[in-house]
Amino acid sequence: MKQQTDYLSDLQAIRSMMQRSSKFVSLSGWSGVMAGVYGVVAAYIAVVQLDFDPVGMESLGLNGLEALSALREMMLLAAVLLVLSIGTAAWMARRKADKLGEAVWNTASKRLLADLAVPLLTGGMLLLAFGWLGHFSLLLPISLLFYGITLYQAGPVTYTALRILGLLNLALGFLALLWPQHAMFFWAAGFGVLHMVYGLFIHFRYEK
Amino acid sequence: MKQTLAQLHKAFDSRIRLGLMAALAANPQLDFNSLKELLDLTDGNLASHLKGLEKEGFVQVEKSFVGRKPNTSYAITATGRQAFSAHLQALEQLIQTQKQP
Repeated sequence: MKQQTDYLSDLQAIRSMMQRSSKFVSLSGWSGVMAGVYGVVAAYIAVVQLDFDPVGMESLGLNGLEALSALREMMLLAAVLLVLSIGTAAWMARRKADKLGEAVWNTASKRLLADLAVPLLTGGMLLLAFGWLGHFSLLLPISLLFYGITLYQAGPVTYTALRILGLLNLALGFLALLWPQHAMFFWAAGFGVLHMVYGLFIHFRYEK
Repeated sequence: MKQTLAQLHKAFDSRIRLGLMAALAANPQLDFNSLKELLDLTDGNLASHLKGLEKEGFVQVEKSFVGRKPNTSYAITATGRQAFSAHLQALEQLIQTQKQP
């Protein structure tokens, strides 16, 4: 007959299998901190170096290719930020997964990516469309709002704390919508500071 | 005690089958290769365990094509979910009763 320890380890095996097969926990806390650092630096470059003033730009009444070309430096900055953040996250996830002896590319991470693609791409298309139409003051709020929705959706598949991060980004998005002249400040708080806080939380809570 | 032991389903005696049921209970469906990776099994071994679970009516198979490659995915059935959670409950009870002799 089986012993109590056998039953206990049966239960533990079940729990770990359910977790391992349905959750993606390889996202490293440090990559969140790094994304936050990139975010703050990008916000600094946008304000100090590029004099990005969406409300003032909007009053020029640009649209179409003219509007997009007024945004080209900002689009370049956004693209660099995106590549750096995703690159760091992917590289660190790979290292963390190796350490845990798991595959980065498992069912959970594939499902996560597919789930996130829809809100992220929708947000990206909206940003392009509003840029084209010259509604520059909507760009920062929309990026916060759609990023918030994306993170909120990712919560159940990875750390639940991501849901809270998503909701906070949504709140900042609405604030940026209401006070467009301070939108850059809310954006830096969301993409910069919140990322760092979240990354540190994950690191000290789950990775120590 | 006897009662609870009887509730432990024979199909779940093997740790591999238990693992398969756990993985399938936590996901809407999983394909053959994902299961293989998760449990670190050979093709033959995994296939025979899945066959066993299928015979019990705990698992249903869905065959389709991804491009030209055949793709077989597995999902837990209602009977399977019931049996699995009954088994979990029995396990928990056994541990509870043995804790306080």
